[in-house]
Amino acid sequence: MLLLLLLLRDPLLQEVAGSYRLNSHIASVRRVLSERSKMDPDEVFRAHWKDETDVVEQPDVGFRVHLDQLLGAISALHIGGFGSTATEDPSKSEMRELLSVLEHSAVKRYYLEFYPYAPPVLAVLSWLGKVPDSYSRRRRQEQSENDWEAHYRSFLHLDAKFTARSKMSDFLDLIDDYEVNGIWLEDLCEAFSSPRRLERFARRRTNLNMLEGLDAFLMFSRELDSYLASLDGLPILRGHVWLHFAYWYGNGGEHMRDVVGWVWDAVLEASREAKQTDRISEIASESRDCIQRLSDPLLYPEKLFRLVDGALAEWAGEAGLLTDQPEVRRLMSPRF
Amino acid sequence: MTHSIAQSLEWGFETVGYFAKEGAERLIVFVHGFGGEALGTWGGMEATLVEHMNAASSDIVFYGYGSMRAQPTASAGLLRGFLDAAGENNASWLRALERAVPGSTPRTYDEILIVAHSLGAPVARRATLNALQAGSVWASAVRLVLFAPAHLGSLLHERRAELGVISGSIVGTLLALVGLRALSVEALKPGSRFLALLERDSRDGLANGWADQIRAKQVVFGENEEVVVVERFCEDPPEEIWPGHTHRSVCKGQEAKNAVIGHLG
Repeated sequence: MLLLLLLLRDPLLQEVAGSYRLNSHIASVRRVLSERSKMDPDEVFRAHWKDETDVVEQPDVGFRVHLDQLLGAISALHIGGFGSTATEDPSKSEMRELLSVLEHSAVKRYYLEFYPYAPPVLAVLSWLGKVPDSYSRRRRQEQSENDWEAHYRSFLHLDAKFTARSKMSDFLDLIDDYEVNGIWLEDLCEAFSSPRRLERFARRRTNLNMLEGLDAFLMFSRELDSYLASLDGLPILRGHVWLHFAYWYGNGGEHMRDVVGWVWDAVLEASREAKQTDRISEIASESRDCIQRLSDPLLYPEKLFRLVDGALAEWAGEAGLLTDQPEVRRLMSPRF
Repeated sequence: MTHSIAQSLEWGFETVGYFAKEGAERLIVFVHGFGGEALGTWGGMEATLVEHMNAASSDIVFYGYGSMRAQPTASAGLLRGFLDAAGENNASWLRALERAVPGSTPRTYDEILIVAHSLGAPVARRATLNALQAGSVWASAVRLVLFAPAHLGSLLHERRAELGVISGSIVGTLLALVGLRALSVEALKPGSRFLALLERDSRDGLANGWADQIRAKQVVFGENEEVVVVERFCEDPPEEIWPGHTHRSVCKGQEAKNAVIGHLG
């Protein structure tokens, strides 16, 4: 509680911190990092995908969930303006404690290298004053605009929906892990290869749940896309919110982009096979276009990337954004 | 701001709540329809309500459930589970309340206003009837406001190929096209057993003196309703028809927001 009271003077941000259980997540992650802990932080916060046979088990799962939720909470607070004024002085002991968690080598590797997630990178750089003044100024300016808080609250509403109990989480686990409850990602893509296969696949309840999770993800994506499109006059907020969800739209790594592409090609193919070529294919195409917009680093976050002037270049490299798009490489480079 | 920020809730699917900061005498529960979403169905209703003085002493929940495949009776059972938790202040509900508004005291709701769309209407009425029959104390506080209610059936079973257009669910449409039964659609065929039992139990409930809970306060359809049967159910008030609206739009516009606010006086 001390941390909240001292760091977050803004009542709205205090509410966000409480709702996202910031203190509880910090305490849990610090248990792993503590010198007295018998746990190895590098082991607990490892990249599970490096070894196909690696199955993360309890208690590591619990600590990793706390870390994921801590990073999400930091992102929500950063979007809400935490760190944009001098009240959050990095020399204060509470702030140093928070930074010591986020800058611990095991934690930093987790969000920068293993599961690339930009918000904590940008938050830490902001707190340390390592972002361009033009970005900080523009950020404060946006926050003072009349409609900013309403739009921020709309983000919190979308995020509450995203993190609530949902069939979507099974689908997200599948595109992250490639296998959930005995269902492999290939099985899902294969199911869409013909109407007969889809019908057979859907007969099993766990498979049907996965299909419903995919549907829920698509519906959420449309809502997120509309929200981001409405933020024309608030490019910092738009970029921050895009970064908050970008992991799930391919910018958490190249493999994620591939996965999204496979799934939507398969959906389109199934629509064609079913000979409902007009309106149904149109809806499937709209869905694919929506996913493409959300996956495009040159669209919603473009102005933010310009303003941070290369500060996210390392994250972009780890996220695989610099490999095949010269425009993105230029945008993410310092002194653009 | 009179309400907490949006809170993820553990009941249903993608259920989100807003808690009144100065205590609440009313719980408003929004229940979406076939293929709808806890929040998306209502077209920004939450932003209007959390700023409106009439809603200042109301907790607001956008309840989500598996409307594509689950049987409506099962969905009603889950909704009733949520209402039990909220109406009886169980431990999970109190935890959610404490997280949203630290230091809040348990709620005693004078009214539980259920605002339901399409399939959500028979689901909500079934949940209410079951709770009344079981003697749940909170059930006596229920009032219903219904948009495009499917309580006399829908035409969806005849229009499988259009499920995606109506519900926005492409996967649900593909599954319907390959012949997988959408149990919620089957249960809404006019004259189905689910609908027949709903009508019978509603009439029994009205005879038992539960008119305030069973008879809707308001029933609205769009002029261009294309999904559900537009007819009067039991002793509900005569339906209002809103010009220019369709099945999907009737619960999204400013008129819908005004209608809900009108019940919060």
